[in-house]
Amino acid sequence: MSENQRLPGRGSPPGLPRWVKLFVMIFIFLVLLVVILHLMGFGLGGHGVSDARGLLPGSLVDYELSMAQAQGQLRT
Amino acid sequence: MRPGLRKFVRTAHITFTVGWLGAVAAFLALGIAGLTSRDSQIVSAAYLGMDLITRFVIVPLSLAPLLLTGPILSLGTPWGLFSHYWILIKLGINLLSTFILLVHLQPIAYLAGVASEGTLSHADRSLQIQMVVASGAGLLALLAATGLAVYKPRGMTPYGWRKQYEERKVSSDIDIAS
Repeated sequence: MSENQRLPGRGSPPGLPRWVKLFVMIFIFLVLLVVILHLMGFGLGGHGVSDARGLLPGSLVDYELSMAQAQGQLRT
Repeated sequence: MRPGLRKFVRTAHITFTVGWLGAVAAFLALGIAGLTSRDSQIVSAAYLGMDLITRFVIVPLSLAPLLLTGPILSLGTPWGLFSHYWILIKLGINLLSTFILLVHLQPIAYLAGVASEGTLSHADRSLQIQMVVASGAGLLALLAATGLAVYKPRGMTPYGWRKQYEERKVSSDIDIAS
């Protein structure tokens, strides 16, 4: 470890660094933005697609099969 | 961890994370093309490409550093996983980005299906915009994570502070005893 930082002594741990506070503020702002957009109607997905497609990638054959399945469901 | 193994894992970790960044940039370009193009063939190709890139490139490249190389590097070296704020925040960024990616898998597949059928309608507009916004935000988050990994800003967590204090105490006790 080559970082040049204050090493721990007997005292209490140091407070939150300024850059961490900045990151936390940006994060809270983004979460609020997402919540507001969500409430305004920009939802996360949905659109009546009821098929729970696999979360992990399979083979290309699986992919083509799932695409064909999705297209079949959209026609009906 | 042996230096040779550490270097190998670090190389894999950098490859995965930077590759993830590049793949998200490609996804964003396709998302913009799908949103703005008036050529139905380009729109169809863009969403099919986005679905393929997501399933076969972005998802593996996001899970590998999160589940494999990241924990090995942090726990197998003196850095630790919870000792430094930059590692903790980078972990948070990766967790959040992967979660948002997994949440969007179904809408991406839906858009690819609709676009390949040529039945993309005005009702899908918000979803198309959402793809661009989400991938743009993801790109910024991954850039921030890359910056953290390179600059390694100072700051130890209370856990890391206590751990280092205890280690120093033990080593000084050994020195005094000898």
